[in-house]
Amino acid sequence: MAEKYDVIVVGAGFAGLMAAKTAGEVGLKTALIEMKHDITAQRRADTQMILPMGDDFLDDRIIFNGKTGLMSFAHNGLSFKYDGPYRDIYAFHLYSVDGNCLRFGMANEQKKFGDRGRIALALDKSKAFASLLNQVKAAGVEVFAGTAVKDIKKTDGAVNVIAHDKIFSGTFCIAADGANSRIAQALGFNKDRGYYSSMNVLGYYMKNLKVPDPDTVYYVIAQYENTGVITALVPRPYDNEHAVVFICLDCRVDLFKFYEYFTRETKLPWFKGAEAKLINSSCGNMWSTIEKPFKDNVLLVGDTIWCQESENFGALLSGGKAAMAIAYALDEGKSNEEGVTSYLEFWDKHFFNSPHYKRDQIMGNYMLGAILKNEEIDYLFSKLNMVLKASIHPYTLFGELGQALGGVVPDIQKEMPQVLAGLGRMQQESPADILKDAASAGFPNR
Amino acid sequence: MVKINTDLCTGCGGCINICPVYALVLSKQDKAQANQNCNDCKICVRACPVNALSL
Repeated sequence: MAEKYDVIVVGAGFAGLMAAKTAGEVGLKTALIEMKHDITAQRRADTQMILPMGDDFLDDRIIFNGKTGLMSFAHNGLSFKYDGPYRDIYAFHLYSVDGNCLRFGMANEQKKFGDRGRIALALDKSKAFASLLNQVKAAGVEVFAGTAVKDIKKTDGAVNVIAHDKIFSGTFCIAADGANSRIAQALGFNKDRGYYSSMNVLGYYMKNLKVPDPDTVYYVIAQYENTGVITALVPRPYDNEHAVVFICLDCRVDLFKFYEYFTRETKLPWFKGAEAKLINSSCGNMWSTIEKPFKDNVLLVGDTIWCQESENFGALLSGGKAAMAIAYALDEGKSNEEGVTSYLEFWDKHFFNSPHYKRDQIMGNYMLGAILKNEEIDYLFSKLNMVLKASIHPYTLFGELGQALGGVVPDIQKEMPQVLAGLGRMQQESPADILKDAASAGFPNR
Repeated sequence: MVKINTDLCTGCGGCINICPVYALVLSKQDKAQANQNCNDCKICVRACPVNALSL
């Protein structure tokens, strides 16, 4: 008879590591399962080496102690220690390939406010994984690396997580296995969930990029082969080093070719003389958000439930909250949905039905490049050349932008009305409709 | 069976959870590795962002 865990956590990204750490620390018998052998390696390319600071998100915010590395969620009391270098981020700028830009803050102005002027922290994500893994192990969690999960089955009084060579039995399971989650698939969540497309991502580390400011995150929005490609330049916490991530929601686009095109054709003088090394990649499905992240004693957290909107912040918080909800349920003797009400209410109130959360908003960046041509994006950014409030915050970022846009609509109507028509399409059509062609070439794991 | 160029594979694991027949895992070196379940459907080949998979 296999030993039974209180909770089995599937996936050791930010959500799963925080879930396992929290569960272990409150005394739950916990297993953490991860398909990678080296949990600390960041092999999946993403732009999120950053944590937003100084603003509320999911009804909480992270308070960072730079002396000890302690990251605390102020409202929920959850915390973890980050043992690694960090860089303060002060602004977020979106560029067209032709060089006009939309600016959320200016770093030199924000720096005048000290720590309160920063909008995010850039971390070394591998070091963050390593820090969390140390805390997971110190909390007595049993870690099963190199273990890919295939299926999950509920029996009377237990959930059984079926890996390639082992079956794990637990009272609860936390599914933190990401955008292509096997658990969400096995539980049937993907059957009637909106599927947008399968994304294609390449991640490089680059040295000596000639960007205007070292403490600003830059996104370049391009149209390429009739679809949108985002190039994210995220400062790393090392001198003159960036993570440069190319993202496309049409998996047919060869991003190596885009890279050549982009670094050759762009008017942005950033890439000359830079050293680049391919580090990671990813192909992830873009699904619409799950309304209720619970089924058969499985709580879903992080990218498993949403379309990447909640970022590292939401992954960490949802992981910790789910673990605490399970601790409460077991203490109360309610190993069922009622026992974990606190997690489901948190999710519903502060995310799914939060007045701040706009469904599909994350798709906006991609839609811009999918709908507008490069010269139209450039024109639009040229009209929005004011400095907006410094932010990289997923809830509030676009609020001011709407107002600013309102002020230049008459000009655009006169000078380039097709831009307004394009923006109108973004408002009226769902991302699924706009991405229909790309989705037809995708690979949803329903 | 799908062939994997381990020099190109970044070990992102994207192919593993989309394989319809559970034929892929990560090797000890964290590179994609196929097993006998593979039925040559090519989904992973299309999905791989670094073109490391072929038939």
